[in-house]
Amino acid sequence: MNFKNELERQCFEIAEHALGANVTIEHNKSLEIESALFPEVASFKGPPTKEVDVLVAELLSDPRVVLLVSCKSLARPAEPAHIQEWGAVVQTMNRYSDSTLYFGLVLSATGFTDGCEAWGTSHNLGIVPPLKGRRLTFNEDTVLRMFERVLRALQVRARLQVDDLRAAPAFFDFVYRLVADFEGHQEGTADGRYFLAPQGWASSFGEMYSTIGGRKVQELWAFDTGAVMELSGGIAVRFEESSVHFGHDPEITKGTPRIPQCVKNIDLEPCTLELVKSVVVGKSITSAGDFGDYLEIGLDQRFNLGLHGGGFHLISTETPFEQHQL
Amino acid sequence: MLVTRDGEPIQIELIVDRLRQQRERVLADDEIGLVIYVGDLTVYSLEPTESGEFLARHVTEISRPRFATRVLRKQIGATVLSVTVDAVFVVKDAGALRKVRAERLEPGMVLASGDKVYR
Repeated sequence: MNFKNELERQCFEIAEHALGANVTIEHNKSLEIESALFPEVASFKGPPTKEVDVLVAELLSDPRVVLLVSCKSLARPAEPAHIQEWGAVVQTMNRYSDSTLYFGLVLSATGFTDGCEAWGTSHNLGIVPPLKGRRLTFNEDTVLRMFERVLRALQVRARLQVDDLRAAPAFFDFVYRLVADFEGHQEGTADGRYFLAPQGWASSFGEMYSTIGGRKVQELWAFDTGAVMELSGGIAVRFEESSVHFGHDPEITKGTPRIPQCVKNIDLEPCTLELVKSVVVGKSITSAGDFGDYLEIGLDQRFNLGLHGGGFHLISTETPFEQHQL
Repeated sequence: MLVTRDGEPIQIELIVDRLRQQRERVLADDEIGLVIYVGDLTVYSLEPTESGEFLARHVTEISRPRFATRVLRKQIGATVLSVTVDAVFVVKDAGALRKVRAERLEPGMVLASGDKVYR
């Protein structure tokens, strides 16, 4: 199969991976309507034609539902004219369709100009990436991930119910809802510090705390990869200074053991790992703070346990400090 | 806020946990979040209007993003609303109407409904 550019090839491979074999690419394709029996298109020369480049993805075979995708690899953001053109294509295909339902989607690796949203809404076209209130730039990988998400969701949706997406702007809104949350994801994962296991998904401090908050500490280890804390419910956290991995994944608690550096109290006096464990095991996480070079966990609102790259610290937070030395 | 046809509040955590098991309903469950189809169920969302009343809209999908969109508090007329930054309002502008997203809604603007934006 020939591709006009790299974006088109990637879109095709993503569509084929998501939907199976019912995906084709057509270049300079003459638009052929299903029925030429309508008075306005009947002529001695046959129905009117228009040439387009299109990625055709069949979402459902019975009743037939097809997505027509226009992949725009432009130096600048796509303009309203691109949306209008695709709107006309999809509208024509639907108007002269025997039974197939066509939806249209425009993907532009460089995004869209402001006026495109209004045309996408009125033509009921999906646009990827979305236009948001603020100027956001999504890189091409993110745009392609949006495309894959839309395809997979759309195929499931087509099997359940699709008629309600016919009327504008229902399909535009459906696609928008699926891709709009990439904004929060992009912002939340910008620092690349937190990772949810076992998927390896980029995460955030907030998600980490909502995963570990309230759980009891069951075990502590020090590995060559960092300090590890096993919690109730099969959750574990590994602190590696530059990154924090957490989640329900036994791989987190694996590594080459090493002798940890453990300290206690405000004065950071040396202590053993056994002493730290004797205090913290069985206690619940009540707070957390990321201090950059260590992660500090509050336990039962009485102790602070610090996870460092090379070990742990433990401090009693009860006052007066002098009377609550460990 | 999600409610039933009778206006009874729906515990979103419970319904999401239950429906998540029905894989044929799951439109997306990935690093971005969870989207579940509920169009065949009688689930409605109560959305505040500029006049302070609530409008019940039939919900077709429940979305649980892992990274939520920012929420703003806006006072419009006598009502204080929580809206996402990209919620769209229609405002009067020199005799014409134009759309403005919540994050660009400025104090002093007047909505098409006649309500004034205070903050």
